[in-house]
Amino acid sequence: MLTFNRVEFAYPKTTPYHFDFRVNRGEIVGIAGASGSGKSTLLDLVAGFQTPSSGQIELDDNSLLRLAPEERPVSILFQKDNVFAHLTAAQNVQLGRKDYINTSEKLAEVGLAGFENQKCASLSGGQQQRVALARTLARNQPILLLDEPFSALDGDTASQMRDLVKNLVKQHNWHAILVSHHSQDFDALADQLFNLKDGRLEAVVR
Amino acid sequence: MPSLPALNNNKTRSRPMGGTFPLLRAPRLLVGLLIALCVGALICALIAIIWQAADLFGNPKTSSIDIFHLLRMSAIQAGLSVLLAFVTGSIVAIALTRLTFFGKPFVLAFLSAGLVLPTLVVAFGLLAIWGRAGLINDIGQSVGLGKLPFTIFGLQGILAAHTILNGSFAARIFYDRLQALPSASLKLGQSLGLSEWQRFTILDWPVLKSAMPGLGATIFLMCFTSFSVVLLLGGGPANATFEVAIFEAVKLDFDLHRAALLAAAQLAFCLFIIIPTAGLKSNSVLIGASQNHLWAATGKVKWIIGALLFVLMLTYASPLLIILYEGFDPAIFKLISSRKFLNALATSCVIATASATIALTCAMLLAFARAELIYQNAGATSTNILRTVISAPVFAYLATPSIVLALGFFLLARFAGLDTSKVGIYVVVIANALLALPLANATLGPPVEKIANKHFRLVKSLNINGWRRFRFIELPLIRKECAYVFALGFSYSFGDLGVIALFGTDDFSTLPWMMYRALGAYRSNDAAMLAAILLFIAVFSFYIFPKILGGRDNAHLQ
Repeated sequence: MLTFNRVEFAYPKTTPYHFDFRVNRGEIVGIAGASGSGKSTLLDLVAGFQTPSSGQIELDDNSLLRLAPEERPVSILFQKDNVFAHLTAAQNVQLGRKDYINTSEKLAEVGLAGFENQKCASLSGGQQQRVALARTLARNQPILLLDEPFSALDGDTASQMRDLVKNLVKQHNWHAILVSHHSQDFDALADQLFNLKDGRLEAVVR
Repeated sequence: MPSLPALNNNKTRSRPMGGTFPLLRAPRLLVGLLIALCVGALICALIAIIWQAADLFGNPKTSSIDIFHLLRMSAIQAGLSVLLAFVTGSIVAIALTRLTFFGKPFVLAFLSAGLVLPTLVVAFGLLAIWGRAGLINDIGQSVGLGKLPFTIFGLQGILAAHTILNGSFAARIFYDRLQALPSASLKLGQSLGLSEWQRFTILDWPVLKSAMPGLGATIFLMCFTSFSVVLLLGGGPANATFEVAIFEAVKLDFDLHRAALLAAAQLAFCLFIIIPTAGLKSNSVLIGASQNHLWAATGKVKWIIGALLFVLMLTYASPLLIILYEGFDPAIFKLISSRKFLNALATSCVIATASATIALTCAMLLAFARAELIYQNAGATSTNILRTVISAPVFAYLATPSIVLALGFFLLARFAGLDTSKVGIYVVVIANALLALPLANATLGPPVEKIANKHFRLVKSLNINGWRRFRFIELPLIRKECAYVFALGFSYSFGDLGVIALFGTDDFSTLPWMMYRALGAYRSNDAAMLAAILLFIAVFSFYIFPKILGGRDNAHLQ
């Protein structure tokens, strides 16, 4: 279980954020909120790009706070720039691991069989997101952070990606946090939904 | 901002346009074309005069020119200078993206000012450290180690000065490019645990590599046409460049035939370099782009790059620090109250202000003319032709470096029967404005065209033209860039020795010219004080004008 235990964080001269919630295995927690409300900050705290002023972030009772970003058991999907465009799809997937893996298998799992040697620059936005997802599979880390990963995709592609992400989270029992502006994302994916307002999370009854 | 006047004025509504010729009804386009043609005509006239002079003046039999030697030496020193600027600049830029420390904004400001450092001052600073009577030799002798086994004069001195001038420029460009890397890519790389080597090869190197062709061509041309540095540190004809050879032919030997032939040769070689590189993307010179994620180095890497950064910054800054140290001594009060100094200071200020104003105005009008093509939604063919014509003057400096430009004006004045000492001030103003134009254009062009691309539908539908478009749409969005261009033009012109070198006299003197004369007369104390003043004013102007003229920030263009 991923736990935010009385976590506090504040940028200089701003209202502090308070986070206190849990994410169970195989669960996707949605975080809604206005622009600038602190949704991405919450993800940065899990990934280690920001450090809370107090409180604990734990995975199965082990604190994440003492770990550097590269040591944390986390995979991230951003809205864009999820791949290194000048590398091939296979190279991007392999970057997720120190040991050699069968990248073709991972790419096939996200519907990109045969795309191994394609430079990511030549792939569509949806295909690039799939490459990033294949890398997430290769890493197989227990925490998945989704920072508006469907916002730059067209309707059909976004819908396919949502299904793919949901299946993978359930199948691999990842703890996922989804930040988005779009209710369709939460409708399709979120098991729990919070609204982030004035630095605090409010549960949304659905 | 004052409220916008009523816009629904049918009398000012533009007529529908299409094709090439109706485009010429747009006043901005006409003004841009007029400027482009004037500058083009001026450059052509100067080149023609130089050719004419080759036939008219001097005796070809007595003029001995080793063009191959000049070409070889210019190319070797320029090539090595590019290499050294790239190596040192990329190390500094990479270190700055990985470290956070007190004084980092000052280091970044110092690197930005590298572009406007008076070259004469940097060369003099190197002499003050590494020269025969320099700091290192003084220390060596005082501790009994004797004199340095090498001299600063020659290729090594030229390379050192060029590395200081262009390494800091390259570092700033590389840093801006690296800062433009998306935060997401950095976060991703950090989260994936990329090693330092992987970070360099996957994230940094593609960015640095993409900046190198354009930047390399610019630095190569600047070094190929280097004047003050080679004049002061070259150590004789063995390391002379075309610019120095032309200067010596005119000023020392008064062999205009040789000068004209050298100028023609330099022009040909510069064009040979410019034509293949003209299509390369220009480098932004604005202080600016920043991403908000710092992926800091840790452990051993942090200390290694920290040490490298310290050594390189010390190398860049040491000639300037010693000038400030040696220059500001009590005798400075006597110097700055002398009539000669005050005259030279006033002349320098007038020339720098006038040439910066002309450069800014021309760059703005040329940028508006190019943007007008977007507003008029012209057809692709006519747009390309007109765009090329309007952009041509930007290459004026690259095709005709300062000494060639100065020689052309010098000959023009003589042909016209004018006293070169009397027309000197006008010539120096115009020449310095032309020299600043490429950088002014590179700074103003992209934002003005971005505004046009973003707003042309709205601007056309509201029929906002001419002054109102400038006042309410464009100026608020480019004010900071305009102030930067003015500061750049002012500082650049203030420290320039290239053009004044042919026109300077006892009566017509600028601070760089006065400093050069002091050096020539072995008055090194005066030269040091003048160098300190020059350095202070050039850098201070570069810092203060954007603050005064640019406001706090541009209105936001998303």
